[in-house]
Amino acid sequence: MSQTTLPSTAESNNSLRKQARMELGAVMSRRTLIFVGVFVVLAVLFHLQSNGLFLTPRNLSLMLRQSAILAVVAAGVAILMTMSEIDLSIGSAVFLCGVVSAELATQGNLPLIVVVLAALGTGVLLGAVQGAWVVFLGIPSFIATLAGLLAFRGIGLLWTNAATIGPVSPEFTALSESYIPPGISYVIIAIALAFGVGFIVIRDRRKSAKRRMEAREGILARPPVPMGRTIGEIALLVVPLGILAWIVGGFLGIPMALVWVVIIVIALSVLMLRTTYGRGAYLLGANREAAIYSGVNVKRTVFIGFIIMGALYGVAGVLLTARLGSSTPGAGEFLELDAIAAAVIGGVSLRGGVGKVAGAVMGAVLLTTINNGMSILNISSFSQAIIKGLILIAALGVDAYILRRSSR
Amino acid sequence: MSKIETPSGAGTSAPLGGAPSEPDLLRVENAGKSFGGAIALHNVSFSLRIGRALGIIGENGAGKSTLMKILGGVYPAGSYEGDVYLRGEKVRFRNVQEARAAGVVLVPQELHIAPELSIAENMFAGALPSRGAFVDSETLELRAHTWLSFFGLELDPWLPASILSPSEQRLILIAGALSQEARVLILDEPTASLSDGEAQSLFAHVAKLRNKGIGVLFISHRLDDIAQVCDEVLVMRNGESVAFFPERNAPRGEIVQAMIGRGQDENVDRAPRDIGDKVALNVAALSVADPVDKSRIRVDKVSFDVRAGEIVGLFGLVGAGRTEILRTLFGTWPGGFEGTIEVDGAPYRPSTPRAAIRRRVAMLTEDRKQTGIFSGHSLMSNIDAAAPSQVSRYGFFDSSKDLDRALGIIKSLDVRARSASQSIETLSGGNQQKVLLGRWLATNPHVLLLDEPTAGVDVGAREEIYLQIEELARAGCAVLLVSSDLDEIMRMSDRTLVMYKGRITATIQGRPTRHALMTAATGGQ
Repeated sequence: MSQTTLPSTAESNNSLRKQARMELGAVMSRRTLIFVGVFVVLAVLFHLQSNGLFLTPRNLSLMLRQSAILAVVAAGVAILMTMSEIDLSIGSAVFLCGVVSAELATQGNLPLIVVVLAALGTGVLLGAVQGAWVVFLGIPSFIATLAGLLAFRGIGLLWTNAATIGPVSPEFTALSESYIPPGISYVIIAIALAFGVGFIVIRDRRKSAKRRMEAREGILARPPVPMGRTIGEIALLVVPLGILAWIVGGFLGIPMALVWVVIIVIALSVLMLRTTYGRGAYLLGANREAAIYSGVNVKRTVFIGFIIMGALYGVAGVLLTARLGSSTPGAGEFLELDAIAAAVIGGVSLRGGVGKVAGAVMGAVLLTTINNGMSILNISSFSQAIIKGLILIAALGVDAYILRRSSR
Repeated sequence: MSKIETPSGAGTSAPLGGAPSEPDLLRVENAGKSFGGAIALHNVSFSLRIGRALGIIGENGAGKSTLMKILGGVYPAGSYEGDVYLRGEKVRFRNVQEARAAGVVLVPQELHIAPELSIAENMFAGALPSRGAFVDSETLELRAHTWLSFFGLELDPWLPASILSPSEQRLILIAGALSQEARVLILDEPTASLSDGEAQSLFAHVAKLRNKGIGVLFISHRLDDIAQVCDEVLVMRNGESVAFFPERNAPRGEIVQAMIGRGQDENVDRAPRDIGDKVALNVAALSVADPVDKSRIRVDKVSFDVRAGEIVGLFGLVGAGRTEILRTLFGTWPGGFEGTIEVDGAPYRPSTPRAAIRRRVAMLTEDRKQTGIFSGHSLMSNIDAAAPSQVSRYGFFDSSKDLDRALGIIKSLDVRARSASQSIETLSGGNQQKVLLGRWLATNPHVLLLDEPTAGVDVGAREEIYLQIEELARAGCAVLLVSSDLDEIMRMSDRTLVMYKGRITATIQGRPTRHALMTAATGGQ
């Protein structure tokens, strides 16, 4: 794009290939590419091994619902990790929010909206408490949330006397387990596709027009957006939406759980990538001291991060209770570890400053896929744990490898 | 473990001065070292006799520390040129342990004390006497006690090291190092963080060591220190030894002249600038305390002002208190301060960088990596960091405005980059620095604080940064430039304040001479 001095030495075939690779890189990061590759390989593997049970609309729809809770909390922990913070209390906090929603749903005649808001409020409160420890008392988030991990589950167990609270009403269950009918689903997907394509085309045309004008006025010489990039981005939109349409058409429609996830991912992605808040979060994760020197309000940024995480406890708690039909004492155990694993697999660095919400969600889907596939193949849960461990290490290994290559 | 060494019976003791026939304690021949392509040390030779103290003096970057690190084993044999002889025998240290075992002990400028560990453990860290896998605490206590009392420190060796003053901390490290039959003691800027009284007590102890026959290499840029401690003075400049004075109390004028080299005071053509009468920054009786030892004053009642459009140089050598002033003004100094400060005529009490930026005060820090760049992030993010609000509305970035501003800054600062989305760490040091300067330009500063703005920047980029700073001043920004680079100060300053030991010792209107600057900065009136 800009102006200066890339020495135009020896334009060879190599540079052409390099350009093609860069163009691909602009549409899809190398990480995403690897991700999609792993996904396809696994899907084919599972499909063949399971005699065609894996790649069916029914199973894929189930997977989308299974991954929703993990995806929601992985999105939240990705934000905290971006700021070099961590949350180990997720499982217990989600459990406690689930308890609140189940208690209110079963005991009173409260409207559903009140129950949901109460769960969200509880989550925000828990997030705020932990954020306060971290920001105002300077307790490392690892410790503050470790305390939360213990205390929140304790509160929930004490309150319920470790009993299962339920069953909740069908309307409650419908929050996660119902479907948007296929007809309406198709319409929604079509609208999303139209909006997406329209956005990409108009944006790129505008950008090109502006650059052409600049070039004419001799301000800056940036090349217009190449056609290939526009088409690539559209393809990136069409393929997943097409697959979704196939799933939805084959099995009941869009699962409600997916709606929650999509709304949350879009909202949080916009927050992190398009707002000054998000930029500050990335900067303070990348170099906290430099962020302070640049005037980023570190305390406020981190505190808000914990509040967001708290709201997501609430959402996940409601989804969990809805999905199980009740609140059970073991609900959400080890969810924090899965969430952190999902974020790491999705490219969020524990050192901070790197990674995207969408990546963490993709990581959650991949983890769920592996769980689901292994269950279909009747692999014992012990072996499953080993394989998941290996996958986590492999993900980090690939990460380190990419990092080293790109830093050269 | 070796036997306990008592100071009085040290094996190295020898008659003071040493007979001429006896080989030198330490001899260095044609030492040289380069980093990448840059030559840091070239063809330096000297010798040190038993019981003598050799002062090594030079401005920052003269090659003193490089030389000492070669002697102390920090740079292993083979990574440098030339030879080192200890008592006539050639030595090739592969690491610090080998150098120590041979009796060459380097006490670095920055002390690494573990505050929670005991004095004894700090003294002998790395060489704790042991019995099997366990620390032999009896031997440890005895050894610590012996060496503490040699230095006249009546301290319980089991107290935590955090109770010690900076000079005591330095002494216990020296004491610990000396317990291993030291022959050569290298002190790198030992008084940089000491008060006058503490420095005096350190000097007295150094004299004691010399009577024991230990040779001392004393690195400093304070002429007073050199005069008090050293029998001989070696002056370094640009990695070479440029003068040797084999006498105590060598004439200070000549030492200073040797440090700065010949003349070179020729004028660079500077475009004229109008400096108005408007005072943008006023500092009155500013005192800054040490963050740990609150009774220690790092900056002592300093007063100055900077007018809009003026570039004021703040010259001094390491430890003079310049960075403390800048950090106080930007709200990042961890210790307390007293005095009054005004920005644009209104009272200003710096608390955080955020508040400073709001008052249109900007600061380019010295340590690019630590407090400057966000590596892994684009040039655009790096430029935006301090002024996101101008290219956003209701907290949402206006992406085309954002990109346009970044590209505008990249273009006007002539940053050599492929695109605004390139990661900042892929740029050279000079270009990174331009981007960071761009970050502060984006805030439209009224007062710009620059801390060593061209440290680690190549010559070409340096001049471009200078031009940009002048441009900014022409637009009415007040610039306070901290530098220990003589050429930089002479190139840039409309007025120069020289600091020495926390005080402003000279104010030079117009273009300063090298001699005047160095004289005031080394306390050599």
